[in-house]
Amino acid sequence: MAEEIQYVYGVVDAHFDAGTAPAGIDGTGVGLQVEGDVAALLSIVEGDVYSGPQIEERTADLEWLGARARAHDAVVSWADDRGAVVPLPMFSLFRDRAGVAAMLRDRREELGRALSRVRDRQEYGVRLFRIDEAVTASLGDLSPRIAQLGRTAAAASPGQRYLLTRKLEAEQASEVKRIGAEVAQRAFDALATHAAVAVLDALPRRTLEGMAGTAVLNASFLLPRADTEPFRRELTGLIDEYEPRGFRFEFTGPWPPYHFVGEGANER
Amino acid sequence: MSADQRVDDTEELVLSDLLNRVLDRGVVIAGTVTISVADVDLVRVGLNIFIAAIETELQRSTDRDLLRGSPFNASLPLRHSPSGK
Repeated sequence: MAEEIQYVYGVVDAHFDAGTAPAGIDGTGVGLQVEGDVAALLSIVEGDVYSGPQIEERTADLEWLGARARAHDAVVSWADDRGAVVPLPMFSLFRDRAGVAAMLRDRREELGRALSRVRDRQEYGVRLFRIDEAVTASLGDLSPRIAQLGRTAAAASPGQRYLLTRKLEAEQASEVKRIGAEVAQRAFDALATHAAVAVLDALPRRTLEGMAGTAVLNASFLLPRADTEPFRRELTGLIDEYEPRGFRFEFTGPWPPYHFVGEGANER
Repeated sequence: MSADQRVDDTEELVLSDLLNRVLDRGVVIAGTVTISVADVDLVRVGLNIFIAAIETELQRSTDRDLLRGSPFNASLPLRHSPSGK
């Protein structure tokens, strides 16, 4: 079954110049299929690589998947550097050119809206982690309630001090969680004021090896391509304020607007 | 550490970050199925479903919505409490 199928990376404007495209998925060439005022960025791939029983195993193989994810992202990022692009999820496959044309026609309005939304904008990601030991050590700074309890305990008689210290310890753990959520909301709100659109993602369930802390925020922001400075200043301010108090920020980007092309991603 | 320095770290992005973006995002054309790869929540595309689904996209969209809600269900609206997720 050496059937050829169409692999679509994303949708761009009809006048997009695909002449300098990098190698696509499986080392294929990347071309353009124009339909009306939009066009699909696509490659022709071997159908039997992407069908049949072996595909179950392949897509569970991180090495196999990772190489293709990087190729997909390389094409979408290259397009993003040269104009507006609406990314399609990896492995958006079509039987033939007619299928691609039909998709572009049927979704013309949706794709047009998405292209307008992301034009001259790029995506950045921010994750925030709470490092419990360090946050606990800074609670006197972060939590007026804990600070007050600490002062009361210090000023109390030895007998009372024992009880108050117990109480202080008992409250610390829940206060660390509460402060984590509060700092996450504050950071998101502050950063979102500089973004055209901001979205929250599900928190990663576990931290990657070697990375400290519990995730409390996982957000993406769509920023004007020409002016990311206010956002960066805000983020630098947050880092300066919260990293000494037991929080860790991760900042990634620019990304193509992966999070902002769905119908759910509305303007602020 | 400044934000500028963070941008330079982009090259060291972990694969999971990339996969979460390229697999789970974008304009969804046909059905997708959520699975977990190496303990990272991912959306893996049902490839043969994809190919077969082009002609019956509407039906598949309905199936997908049943499977995992809206294709953008992880993109919560602004100002949704982070602790609520």
